[in-house]
Amino acid sequence: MRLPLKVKNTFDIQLAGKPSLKIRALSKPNRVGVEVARIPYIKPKLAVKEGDRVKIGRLLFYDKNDPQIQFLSPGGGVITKIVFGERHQLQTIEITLGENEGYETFRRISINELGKMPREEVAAVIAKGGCWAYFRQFPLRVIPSLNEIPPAIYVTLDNDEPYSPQSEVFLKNKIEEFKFGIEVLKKLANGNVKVGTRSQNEFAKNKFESLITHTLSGDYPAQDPGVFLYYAKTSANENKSWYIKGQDLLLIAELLMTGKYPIERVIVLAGCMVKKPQHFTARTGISLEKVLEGNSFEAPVRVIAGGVFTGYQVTEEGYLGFYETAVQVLQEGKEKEDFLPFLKLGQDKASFSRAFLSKIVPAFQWKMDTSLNGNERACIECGHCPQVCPVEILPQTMMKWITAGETESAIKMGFLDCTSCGLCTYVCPSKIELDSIFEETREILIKELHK
Amino acid sequence: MKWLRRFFKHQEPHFVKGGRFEKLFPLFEATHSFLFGNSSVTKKGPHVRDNLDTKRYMIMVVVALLPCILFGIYNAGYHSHKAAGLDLGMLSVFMTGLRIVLPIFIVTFLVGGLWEVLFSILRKHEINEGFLVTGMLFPLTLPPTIPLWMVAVGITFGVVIGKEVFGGTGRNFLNPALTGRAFLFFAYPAHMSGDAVWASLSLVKDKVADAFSGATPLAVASLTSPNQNITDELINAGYTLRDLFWGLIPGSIGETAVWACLLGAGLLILTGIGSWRTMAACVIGGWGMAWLFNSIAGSQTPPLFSLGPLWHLCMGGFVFGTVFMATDPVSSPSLPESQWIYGILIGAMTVLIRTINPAYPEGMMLAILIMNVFAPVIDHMLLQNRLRKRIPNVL
Repeated sequence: MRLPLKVKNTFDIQLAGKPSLKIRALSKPNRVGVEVARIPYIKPKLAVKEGDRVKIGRLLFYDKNDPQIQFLSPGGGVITKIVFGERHQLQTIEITLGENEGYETFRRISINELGKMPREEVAAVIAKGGCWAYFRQFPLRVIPSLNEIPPAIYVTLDNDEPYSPQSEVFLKNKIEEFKFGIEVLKKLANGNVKVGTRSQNEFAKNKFESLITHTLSGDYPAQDPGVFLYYAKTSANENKSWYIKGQDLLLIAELLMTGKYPIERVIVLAGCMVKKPQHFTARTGISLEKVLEGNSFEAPVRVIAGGVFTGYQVTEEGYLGFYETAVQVLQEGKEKEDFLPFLKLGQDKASFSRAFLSKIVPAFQWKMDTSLNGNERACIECGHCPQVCPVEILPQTMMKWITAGETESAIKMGFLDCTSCGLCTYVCPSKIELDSIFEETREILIKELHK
Repeated sequence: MKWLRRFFKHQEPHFVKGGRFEKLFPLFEATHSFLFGNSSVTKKGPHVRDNLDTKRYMIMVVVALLPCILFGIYNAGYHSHKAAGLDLGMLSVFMTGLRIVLPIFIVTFLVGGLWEVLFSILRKHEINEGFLVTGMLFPLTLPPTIPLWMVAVGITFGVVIGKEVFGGTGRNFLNPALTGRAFLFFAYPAHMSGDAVWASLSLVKDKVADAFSGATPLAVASLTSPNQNITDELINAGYTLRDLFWGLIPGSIGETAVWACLLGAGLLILTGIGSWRTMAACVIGGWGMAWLFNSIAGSQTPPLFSLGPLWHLCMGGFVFGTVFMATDPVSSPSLPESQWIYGILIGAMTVLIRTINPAYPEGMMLAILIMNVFAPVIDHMLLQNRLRKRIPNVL
């Protein structure tokens, strides 16, 4: 039985620069890096120092609050640089790769063994293999503790944020790995595993048949695990479920099947400024310089790690983060300033609203830049944000409660269901940074919980 | 436009923090972004943003108001010429209308704008575009004979008491334009109602045509004596339904033409700027209440009881208020389901006030203001209702 879930209030911004399904392997880079500061909600404790020789899979750092959550080296060679930021916060670890990188070895588990092994042992092997952090726990999306048994684990194969790797590409030769991964999840969650995919994803439906428990229909962010949880949950107990993204599950499966720390992922390079937007196979921790190789930009650009909604701005000197599998390049600011912009019909202005002539132009890819397209103003209750909230909360009301110090009321109204998809912030005509306000609130909540 | 751009670039350092005119930054920002839009970029995700901003939003309302404004000017001139017995040529009537209406608009924008700028400088925030709409709506609700000092007092009350004392745009719970109008209505009733205020004679002092009567349809209706048929009385006074629709009748500057309001409603609904739910609900409420009165009307009831629903909808400010005032997003409820309740109650209350208390012929204004006050309550109640269906998610 496969349950179809219809996700409400979704929106496709039709961004230009969609990556093709072609895939190309990036050559071996000279160095790789780990962007420690980009891993949220952990207190990193270093386990190496500059000049150390490491193999692939060597422990680099762990979480001081939960030492079982470990992060391993994505390359073999010499640690050439460890960068600290403000208040001695660990920022980046850089590894210059050697000729022969070498592997740390971990315990291999066959499918038969897996059935007989106790849950704790499987969890411990995953954690030791540096892959535990791919699990995240709702509602605040922290990395869960190993000992806790989740009410359910949610897996989404697809990611519809513009633009992310397509499951048809990264699952192509990994059918067995994915099936194995689902078995691992069943072990960890005592069988409560929910697997969702796009309702039109025939590839996944054919290959995995009964493993797929739900199909999700709708535009962005219908495939977000938080949205999946919101539409699939039947009781409040499930609020503390875990989730893992499809491609990350493949890494866990690979770790257990091969006994080696997995370092290869499928990423996309997309955006209107990129010559050939497409998929790549690349190493974890690859430098952005390497990803952007072959592209030259005349106008000022913004490089984003992750999607255009939830990603963060990076420089070409940085590395692709632990969770990120996409790089977007957008034009920074407008090409040229408008004159009396509000008087124009706006056939060339993309909008969720119907206030521009662009609404009657049929399906079109919009070349978007990073302009704010307006000035920050007071909320006028225009009612656009609730129309794009897939978890059916009222973002404008949440914002008002939170800024008035009434976070408790906001939570009562469903604030924790927010999946930080960013659509509300995208459509806001008053250009209020709703998403940032919500993110800050979550950070405060996490700090309070850790006390 | 290069020189203008360069001029603004040169002036900018004076207005930013540390500059000579740092305090006047809101004024600079407003002018600059009015001319060139905003060139700033996103600081955090989402990295791309929708093209809709509050300027576009408000301009759409102004565009929707254009038919009402243009016809309002013509109508003011028409009645001035008619009362004075002057020729009714299109151009000369329009020019007279312009001379009557333009000063009202100019005073509204000067005085109201001044308060806006003053408060944004004091509060150190940018000038909100909301006043653009308030400033357009307020003159349209006034009779053409209104003294200009009264316009200044009214818009001051509307902006300061109706909006700024509550924290400015987005925090006002009353519609500022209507608040200003209500103030004038109760403070200076002689200038806001009665038969003499609808035709401006200030420009043609010497002669008044004898046959001219300036009574509005609402006034005619409320003065009908019990044994008369109210519809016949209205038609006898020269107001057929067709006249009410085309709007060449005495009334406030912008409210008389049903067709002009409907054009505006079309644009507001098409662009999604005005809530079609609120508009539909107002009509349903008004229609239903009028029908209810009709069904209990008899020889003992006042004549207004038997006035048909369509007459109610076409008279006075009903359509104008429904399209442009009730849909003000800040002072109306935000949940779609609350907008139905809100609209229906506005429509019903308008007809109720008109029928039960003919001393206040303009029930629309009062009904909207009353429902503005109740909007947060309606939202709160329906929000609780929504919560019951939700699976709770608390820490």
